[in-house]
Amino acid sequence: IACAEIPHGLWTDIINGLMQSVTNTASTEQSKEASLETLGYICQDIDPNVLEKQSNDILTAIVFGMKREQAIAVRLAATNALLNSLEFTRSNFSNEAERNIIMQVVCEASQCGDALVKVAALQCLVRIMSLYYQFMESYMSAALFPISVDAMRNKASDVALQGIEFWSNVCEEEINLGLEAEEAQENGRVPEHTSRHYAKGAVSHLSPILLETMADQEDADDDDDWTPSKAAGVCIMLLAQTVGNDIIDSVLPFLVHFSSPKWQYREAAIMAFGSILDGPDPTKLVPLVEQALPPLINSMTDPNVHVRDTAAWTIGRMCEICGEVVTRPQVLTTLLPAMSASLNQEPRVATNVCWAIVSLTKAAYEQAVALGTDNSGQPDTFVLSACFEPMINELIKTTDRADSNQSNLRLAAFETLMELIKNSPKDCYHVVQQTTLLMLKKLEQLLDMEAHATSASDKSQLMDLQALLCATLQSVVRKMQHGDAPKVADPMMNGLLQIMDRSAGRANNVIEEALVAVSTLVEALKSDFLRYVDALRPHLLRGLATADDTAVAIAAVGVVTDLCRALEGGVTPILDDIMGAFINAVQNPRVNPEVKVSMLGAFGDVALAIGQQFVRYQGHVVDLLNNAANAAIVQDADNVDQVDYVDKLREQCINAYTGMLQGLRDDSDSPTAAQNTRQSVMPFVRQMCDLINKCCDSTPVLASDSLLTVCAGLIGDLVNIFGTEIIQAFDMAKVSSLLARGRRSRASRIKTLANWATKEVRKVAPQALAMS
Amino acid sequence: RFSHQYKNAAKASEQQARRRNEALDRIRSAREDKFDRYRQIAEMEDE
Repeated sequence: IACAEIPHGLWTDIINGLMQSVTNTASTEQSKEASLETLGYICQDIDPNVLEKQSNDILTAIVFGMKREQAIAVRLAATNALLNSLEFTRSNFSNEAERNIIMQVVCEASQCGDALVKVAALQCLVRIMSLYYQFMESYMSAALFPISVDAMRNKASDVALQGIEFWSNVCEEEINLGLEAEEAQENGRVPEHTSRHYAKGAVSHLSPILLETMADQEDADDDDDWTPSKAAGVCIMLLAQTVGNDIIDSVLPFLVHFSSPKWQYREAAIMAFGSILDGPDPTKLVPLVEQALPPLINSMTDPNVHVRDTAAWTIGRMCEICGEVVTRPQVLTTLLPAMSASLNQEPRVATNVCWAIVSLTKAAYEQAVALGTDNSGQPDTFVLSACFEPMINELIKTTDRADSNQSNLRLAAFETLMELIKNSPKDCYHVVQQTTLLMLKKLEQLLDMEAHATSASDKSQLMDLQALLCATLQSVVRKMQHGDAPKVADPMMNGLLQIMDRSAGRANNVIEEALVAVSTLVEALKSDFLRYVDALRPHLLRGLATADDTAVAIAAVGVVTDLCRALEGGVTPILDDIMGAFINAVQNPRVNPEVKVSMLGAFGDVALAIGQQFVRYQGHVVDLLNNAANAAIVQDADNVDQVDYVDKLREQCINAYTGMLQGLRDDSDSPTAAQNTRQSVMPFVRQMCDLINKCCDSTPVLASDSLLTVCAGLIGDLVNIFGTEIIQAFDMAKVSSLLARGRRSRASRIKTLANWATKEVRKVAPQALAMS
Repeated sequence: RFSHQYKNAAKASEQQARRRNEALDRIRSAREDKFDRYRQIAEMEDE
């Protein structure tokens, strides 16, 4: 009830009432506990901004309840309530005296004999470290370091996990601060926040504890459980990313356990090695990787499955990070057979091998591209060409394994197939052709099997498989050489239409994948796709009308965009239906805003496709764009999601206007062409200029680079059409400043468009830019 | 909070998200190409 009422300014005394109930000397233990639990629930569920003004009352109650003299149940309720209230206590944390009090009670609670209070207090410290990193300096060496290290060493898993999580959080925070510092340096400014490099100072103390924890595991550990051993592995990985070369000396001695008689130590040593590959300088890593590769390849046949699994993962990390080493022919001679054999091991091992193959193939392809390509951008050959076909065949066999539904193996094998196709050089093209035919045959078989399947679970599995086949078809069609796509178009469209027919109304990603596959075929066939449009129409409209599956609706919008580009005027017969579906969806409150935004952008694609014919939709569309642009206002500049949404919405509105403007352009040689264009565009010029002025306004937030780019484009288009008379509709000081920002950008497209728009303005009104 | 970073726990969903983003990027870049053709920006760059 409080969560419903407080945001509306009602029940204003509830928080104070609960505080009194905790601090009142006459309150019973049960009353204190219940009041604190209630406070905790309110803090958990309510928008943090709403409670910010009452944070003093809340903290008074919590700090009182956490004190040592209180009963355990009260301390627990108070500590849990604190965990939920940390987000809106920034002002209290900014005040040193108040911060000291909060930190003192939390640190004391972390030493409580009761495990639940201890864990809850440690959770608070983890959260505090994330939220208030900048205030932690005076507590780190005296309290936070010993408390967290002590927790890491604790035998109780729940406690150890919080100790490890504390340092994973520190690392994550410092990685982000490092990025912020780099960005600030690039832009020649001082970063707002700075790293205190706690991880660097602690790495030599933390690593031995973490490495021992990694080895503390049992055969019977459940794969799905989050254990201190796994958490320690992730923490070492984050430490490596944070401290770079400094991790090497701490971890190197532990690698002696590669040959330990205990599988736990063998696994931990391999895991540790794989975990430190991302962070240190490649020059330091390469000799280590060269040295570790032979024993690692041997570990792929270790008697223990945990060791084999981790060895496969580590080899994948090497392929991802040290591509230069793993693609050497002498390395491949032993690595490829080991990978091939391991693909037949337990699903969990085979899954990691699949991901390793993805990284290996990408590394080989990038290397070949770096050596040079022709206009196609594809290399003639690469180091895996000779074994490419067998690799594809083994992966296809893997997708057929009876146990491939375990450990995500089937999905990993299909994703690997797709990556192999995507990263294949010209001399492997015959394999792409064969794979296409095989996928089509499999699709046909699956549709047949689905028709005969009776149980819901069988049907659902078959649909998942169909989704993966659709995704694989996308990658093969994208790779197809001109002229080959028409050969597979009929069977492919036939299969895709059947899939969409049978999946109608069911929530499944198969429809999304089928629609994206249609998109790739449209792109490949261009105007030849026209013959499938009638058959596709009902599925496309159903996709556009899907209010509860965002991905399906966005994929359907993508098909419309591709159809517009491929068929241009040929799309006209289905446009009334499509535009009706767009307009309904944009006005439907149940439809996800992301879908609406993509539809707004697609109006521009429709306009570009049909040119003057768009006039029949123009009134409706301009109203919608205008309403959307007026509603899109940043009210809270700190709300990243809101800022991002408004930015995207404006970007798509500008795309729509740009498409309309360019579509309505009279490009003929007629002497009245320029006048005709101005007349066609005139009905919505005011709206475009208003939107541009809003986008150029740097308050409350600057336009993103994407928005800046499209905005510069539209400014240039308008000036090009209307010349000097449009200048007065712009807020030129802001427009100039936006264009200047674009010209300074390092991204070539932003720079190009900003320069182009600037030239267009200078042509007609040089003083307009100079004045501002 | 960090369990998705353990080994390849999040790899499959990352791959799928990447494919989804690539599809959106293709649309965006095809649209940009078309706009730029009207603006004769490619020609301007060649100059």
